[in-house]
Amino acid sequence: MEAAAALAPDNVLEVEDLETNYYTNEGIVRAVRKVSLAIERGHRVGVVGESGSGKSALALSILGLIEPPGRVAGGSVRLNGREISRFSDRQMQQVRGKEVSLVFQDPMTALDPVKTIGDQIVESIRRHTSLRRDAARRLAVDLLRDVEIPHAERRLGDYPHQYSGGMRQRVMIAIALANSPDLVVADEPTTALDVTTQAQVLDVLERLVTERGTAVMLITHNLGVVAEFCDHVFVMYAGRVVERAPAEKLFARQAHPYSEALLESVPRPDRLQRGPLPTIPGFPPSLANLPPGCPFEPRCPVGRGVEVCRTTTPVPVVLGNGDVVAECHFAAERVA
Amino acid sequence: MIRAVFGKLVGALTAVFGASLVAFLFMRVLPGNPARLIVGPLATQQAITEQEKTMGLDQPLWIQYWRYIKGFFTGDWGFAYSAGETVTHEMAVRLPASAELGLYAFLFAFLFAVVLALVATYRHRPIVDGIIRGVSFFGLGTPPFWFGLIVLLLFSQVWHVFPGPDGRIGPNTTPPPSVTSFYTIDAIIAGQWGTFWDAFRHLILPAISLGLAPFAYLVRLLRANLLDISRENFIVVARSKGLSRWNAFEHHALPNAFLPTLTAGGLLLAQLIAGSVLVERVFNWPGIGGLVVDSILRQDYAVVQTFVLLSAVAYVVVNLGVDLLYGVIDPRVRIPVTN
Amino acid sequence: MTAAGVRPDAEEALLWVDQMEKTFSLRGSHGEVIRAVDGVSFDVRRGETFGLVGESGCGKSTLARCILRLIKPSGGRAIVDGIDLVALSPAELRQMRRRMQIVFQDPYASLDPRMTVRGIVEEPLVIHGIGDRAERTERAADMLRLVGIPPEQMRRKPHEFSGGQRQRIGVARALVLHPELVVLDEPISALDVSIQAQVLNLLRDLQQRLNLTYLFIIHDLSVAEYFCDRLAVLYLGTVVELGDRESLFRRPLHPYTVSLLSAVPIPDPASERRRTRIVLRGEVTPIAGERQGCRFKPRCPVGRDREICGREEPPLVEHAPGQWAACHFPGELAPAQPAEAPAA
Repeated sequence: MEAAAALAPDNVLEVEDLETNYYTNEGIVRAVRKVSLAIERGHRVGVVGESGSGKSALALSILGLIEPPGRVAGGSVRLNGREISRFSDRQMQQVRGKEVSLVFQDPMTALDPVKTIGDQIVESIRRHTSLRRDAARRLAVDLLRDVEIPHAERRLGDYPHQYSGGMRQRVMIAIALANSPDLVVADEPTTALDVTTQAQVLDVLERLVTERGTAVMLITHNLGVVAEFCDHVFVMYAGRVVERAPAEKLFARQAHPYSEALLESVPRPDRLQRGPLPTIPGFPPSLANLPPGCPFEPRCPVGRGVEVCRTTTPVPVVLGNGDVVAECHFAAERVA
Repeated sequence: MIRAVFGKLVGALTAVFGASLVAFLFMRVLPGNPARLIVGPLATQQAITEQEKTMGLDQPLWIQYWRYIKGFFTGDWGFAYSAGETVTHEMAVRLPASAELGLYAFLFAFLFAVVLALVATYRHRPIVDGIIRGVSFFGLGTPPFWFGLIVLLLFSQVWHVFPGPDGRIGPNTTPPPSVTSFYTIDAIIAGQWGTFWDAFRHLILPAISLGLAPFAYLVRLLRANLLDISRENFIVVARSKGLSRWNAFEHHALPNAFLPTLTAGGLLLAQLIAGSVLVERVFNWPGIGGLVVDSILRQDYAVVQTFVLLSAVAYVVVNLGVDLLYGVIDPRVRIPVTN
Repeated sequence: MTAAGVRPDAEEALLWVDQMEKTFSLRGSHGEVIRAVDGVSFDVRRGETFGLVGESGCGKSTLARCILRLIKPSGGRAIVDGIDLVALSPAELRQMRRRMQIVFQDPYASLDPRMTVRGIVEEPLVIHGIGDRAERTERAADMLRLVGIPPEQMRRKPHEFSGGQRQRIGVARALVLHPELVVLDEPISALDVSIQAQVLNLLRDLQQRLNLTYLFIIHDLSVAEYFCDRLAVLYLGTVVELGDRESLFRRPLHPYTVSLLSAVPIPDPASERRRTRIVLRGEVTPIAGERQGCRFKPRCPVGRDREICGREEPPLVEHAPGQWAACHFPGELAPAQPAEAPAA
């Protein structure tokens, strides 16, 4: 294992068999079910899924922010080579905001309404550096300028409600990148934004992470954003990564029926579509009562009612040059 | 901003006048004749009429009302027939006693509520929820005077920790020179630490009894707010910066949770200042509670009217204060959305 | 003489919006107003789907509410089937409401959590005094069946259903009166991607079956292009471009439309990398007080430094048959991507 290290990719994040459960009155909700993935330094990875796919739980698990009744029940998370899944909260406090940071969804509620923007940026800076207040403030002004907030100096003393949604999200990016972390986890960063605002936010994010060589894990259900921003894609369904592939390969041909169905159900202006949209019948399964077999089977255009799909959980199948992996009994045939 | 403050002042004044009108009319609607009560059952009609004239009851209603209002603002609050003194004198003696008790009751309630709510929310466990619920039920459902009797019995008679029901200070202590009429504050001002300690010890039991219900109410409110806030996204974001759980809590959750609790707290404070008859009776506290009840029974108009007006003013002042405080500490109110 | 943006035979249209205006006055600031809707005109033919496209602050939701008289417009008219809504008495307006209904955005907030689904869908019938109890229940059941909710579940409450199902219930409620005009205010924005497709298909199916006319408010352009026959692009309360789907998406004239289209990410990395984006900087500030010139000028790649754009507000002019644009330099900004992706 160590001998191959020289050839192994330089991974900033390695997740192996991660399991996160929520222990509720209705039973155990298995939000993340033995998920494994890796992100190379400086790369951009998209995690695609809908509600109930476990993608947000995955993000919080990596950052060690799962609160009761949830708990990381197993697996390993290695950041910069260090095993952080067993870290105490105190140890994680050194890591969060410095080596890995979070850009959260919904900019309306992600900032403290009674503290100034400047205070909230400075807080992040002073947590991990020994800069004095005025030096930290100067750095904060630079960061605001970086994320294209006009009149940065003056707006440092404003409160979140005086900023628009797009500006708040860019402030979140500034906070997340304040200490130049190695990895940024962005959970639905543009879902609540208008399309032109989204374009601006993604543009800013792209510029900053390229400058700093930061890796990005972008969690979203918007396939267009993934196509534009990410090199690799992980498709999640019912708590598992059902397909992983380089972005170009995934969008050209999907090995897993869910990936295919998802892409088909989105209206595309670049294709002339006029008839009814192909849809996925039914809705995502409850993570508290998962039936045996493939979780997608009841809705799967390929596997519905098929014996093997109903009874046996599919194992990951490696395809192509080894860079495409899908969990489907029919994956190999589909891309053959 | 100025317009908002002015609007609030106008509203406040309207409330005060409304209260005064209601008190005035209400007393006069009650059956019976106060003049007759004063001169006694054997008096002649002439004596009664004479008495009415002295009391000004022969004048038309609106003149009586005008004299009442004018008197209030000039400090002439009338004569308390039931006590044999001017109302001003009675108020000056009794009001500070109730106010001081009310203030301490509020402080105890608030402090205990904050501590308990913090402990409960910071480490959220179901058993703590159960404790809080139990405490709330007990606090809200127990008559304060009964609770007062129990603690008096236990802490004063059985365990001799606190003094008995002998008023604001012990028989061997002289009150401090009067600056605010609050014994504890005046004692500190005069540097009389012994007196301060005695007054404080006398305050503890009645304040706890009086503050029990407000405490129960506040702890539930504060805890609910804290719980809501601690689930907000910005707390997760704060933690993602590397802040410790306590830091995120204390720095971000608390300030946000306090704001809505302010309003409730203000109302409670005003309520407590207005005094509580039963608790005062249990502890022999020389407050206005007892005076007001007696005055109502004896139809002593002047006392009741003045008391109502003073209470209204207290409510209004406290609420105005809370409103203005909001305007200062909540940036969303202070700086309207200009974007 | 009809206003710009309206076709010549608008009198036969099911809906004809004529110079609609809505201003809000700002609290405590010396007479400053926000013109949320600032002179909007268009017509919608029976059976059409007309899209109102725009971003936050453009006034599309306010406009829809003004049309339906849910809020009182400051000016202009909404004419439904030849009847001027503004001129109606409250009783007459109530009668008109049976013919025009609305489906709201948030399936979690627009259904009363205390009512059963049956109660929710029957409520419009109750309000308008239609039928007796048995008839109402039957109509409600029919409608629920039509939207794909088994009538046996009528006794349940909203929280027992998923977001997509709740939205279907909202649609059933809107349609139980058999209206002619249905306003859909971002009906799928709050739903998951795969559910969005389901609801869109349902809406299309119902439109054909029940002969409905849709006024579709949407900010997702891909959905707008797929679903709408004609569209109006709104910016800060006015129509900046109006036309049929084909023209608007293949040959957009207004720089805002072009920017909007270029901002939509396409799920195809190959074409994504190929095209260049137009990224709009700056913030959208609602107009308070007087304004001179084009309202898009501060952010406009074409007009930012042009004198006429700062001096004169461009009128809405029919620059191509059936296509109106409010711009001094329509068509100058070219779409940043090829019109059609090459066949895969």
